[in-house]
Amino acid sequence: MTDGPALPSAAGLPASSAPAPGIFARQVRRTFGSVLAVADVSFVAPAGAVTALIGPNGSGKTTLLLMLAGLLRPDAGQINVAGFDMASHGYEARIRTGWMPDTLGTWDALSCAEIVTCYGQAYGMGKAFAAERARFMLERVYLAEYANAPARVLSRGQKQRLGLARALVHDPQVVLLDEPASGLDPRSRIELRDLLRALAEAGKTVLVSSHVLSELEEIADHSVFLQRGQSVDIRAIQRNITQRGWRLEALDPAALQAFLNAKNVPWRPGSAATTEVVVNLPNQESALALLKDAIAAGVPLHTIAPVSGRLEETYLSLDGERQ
Amino acid sequence: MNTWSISLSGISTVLSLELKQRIRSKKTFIALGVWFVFMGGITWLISQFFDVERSISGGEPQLSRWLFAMITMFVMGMCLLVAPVFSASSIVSDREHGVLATLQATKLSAVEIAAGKLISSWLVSLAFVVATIPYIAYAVWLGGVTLWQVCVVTMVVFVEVALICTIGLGWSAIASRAIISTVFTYLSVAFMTIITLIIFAAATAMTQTYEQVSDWRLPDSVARRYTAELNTWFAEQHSDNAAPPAPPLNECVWVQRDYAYNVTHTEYTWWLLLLDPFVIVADATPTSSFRYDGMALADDPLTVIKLAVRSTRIGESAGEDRCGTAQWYGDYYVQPRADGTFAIQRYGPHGSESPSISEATIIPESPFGGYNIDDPVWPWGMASNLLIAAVFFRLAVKRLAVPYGVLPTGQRVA
Repeated sequence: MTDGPALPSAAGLPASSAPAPGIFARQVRRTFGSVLAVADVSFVAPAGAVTALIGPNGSGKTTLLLMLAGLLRPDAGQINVAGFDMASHGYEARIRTGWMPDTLGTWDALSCAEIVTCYGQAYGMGKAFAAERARFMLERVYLAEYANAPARVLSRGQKQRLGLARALVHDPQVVLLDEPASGLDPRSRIELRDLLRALAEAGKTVLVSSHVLSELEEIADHSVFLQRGQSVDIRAIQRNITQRGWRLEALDPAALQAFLNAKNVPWRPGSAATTEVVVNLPNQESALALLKDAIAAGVPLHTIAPVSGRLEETYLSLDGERQ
Repeated sequence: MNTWSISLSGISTVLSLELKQRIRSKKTFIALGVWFVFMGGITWLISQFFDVERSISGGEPQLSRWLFAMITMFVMGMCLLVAPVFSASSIVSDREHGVLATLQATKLSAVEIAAGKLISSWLVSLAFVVATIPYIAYAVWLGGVTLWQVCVVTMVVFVEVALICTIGLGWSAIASRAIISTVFTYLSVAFMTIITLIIFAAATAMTQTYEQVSDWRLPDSVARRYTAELNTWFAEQHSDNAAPPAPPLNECVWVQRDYAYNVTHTEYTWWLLLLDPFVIVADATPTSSFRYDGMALADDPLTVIKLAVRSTRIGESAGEDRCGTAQWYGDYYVQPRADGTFAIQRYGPHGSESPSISEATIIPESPFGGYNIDDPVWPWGMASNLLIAAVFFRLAVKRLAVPYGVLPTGQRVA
């Protein structure tokens, strides 16, 4: 976001080049009545990086983002956003934050450009500047051609992109995105990924919650796992992941199966559409050893790859109690 | 936090956002068109009660006064019904559509969001008031209604519509669904207009006591003596600047009536009528009642309501202030004048004679503590309405303030 119309310093927002602290949360807790939504969350999301917020449904991701956006007061704990303590300087933190909710509502009667302009004005920009900024943001999310179309004609994916333009209109220091990839087609996901990387490179703090783990793996520098309202120590989890699934595929499936049986390696059939098999191996060294043995034994092996990404492994190893 | 910080640009951002949505909705304009035709029909119906031609040529102001009063009541009543439509859904429907939280997350303060929404629903409701101007102008054109009256009525209606909009805004901040806040806003309107009237009637019925009322007046003997003095004076010949005697008001006393009856103590319950917007508009309008035999009378609906409410405040048990008002002494009708003199008019066998002005007298201060029929009640009503509006507006702001602490059941942040 370093290009485009520069924000006036009168808007009370730091210049986009200013070094910015990210997000810091310690022992954050929030209940709704008797329901404990966020029990004990501590994490750090540094500036200039994309941090992924991962967890099953009901693990407290949305509630946590609401607290970070300044809309919900934590019952206990400390939150620091863009260098401001939420408890004492919530307003300063709030106006430096761009928040995109998981379900974005729009005003049906207004055009896309008007909606984004309106949010620019809500952040204190003058009308002309907000309109210019809106035009730039819509171009940035590839919605320029819909600028004068009412928001109701947009598809779900386009609405997500409109929501993104809206959340970024004031060039926030901290960007909080709740499921931004949902409803996006593959091309849009790649564009989103590029946009988030560009934001991080511009020094912003980007926190993304998502279920599309393969996407997150590519863009996230850090990950925060939530499980039943608690942040999970990832290193502990990754230590516990003793075995990963590996996908093997050979030109002669029968030879591969015979080889594995001979080596006494347990295997199971992989995807039904292929002849691949899946084996569990403790680490990369054992994968390399198996590969060498297979080549030596003359098995026409052409593919060996981990079944899933590391995030997915971690995710699945959470004793995922979906609520 | 910045809950109460307020800036013009913040309010205008919310206001223009709200107005754009209203203006682009065809429904608003269709409703406005229907309303215009409907009010035209009402005006036409009222004018059928009277002979318009004669009214204009004969200079009879009664038609226009009736027309004006009826239009005022109708505009008021319909605005009370229209205002909730635009205000009662404002916050809750934004919440339902998931756009409120993203606004709350911006620089806008809770009071700016509330004020922007209030002003927008107020302005849209006012469009309905403005649409009736041609018909009010018709009443003015017929004569008998002054522009000043039109201005006062319009101002009062503006304020009352703002009150209903604020109540609607307050309910829309509390309710979890638009339908609930709309119902509660209509119930509030019903409470202020009809239910307080029922409570007033019920409460007043309980205040009846059987008692003998006292009047502040000259004792019969003194009244007879004064009548005799007047008889003597009018029987003599006088020069042009001679003055008849003034009534001896320093001899006024409380005289108990010689009969007892069920007295209704409306002076204890009159304030229940204060909330009613119809009472406020009727009482605030500077219509002219006329006096007959010291009694205030009215010939148009606004003044009828005005006099009715003011008499409930005075109450029956206060008796009559016969020393402060015009009275009959034998054949003489004695009217107090502002300068301390009295206009004394004799009604002889050949009808009334031209009045003679009495000598000036110092009128002793009346112990008659009660209110006068000329004392307005609307400032109290307006004040109570503004207080209610303030309570509801504060409520709306409190419910819009972020970060949320305790969330009411059924309410989601986003």
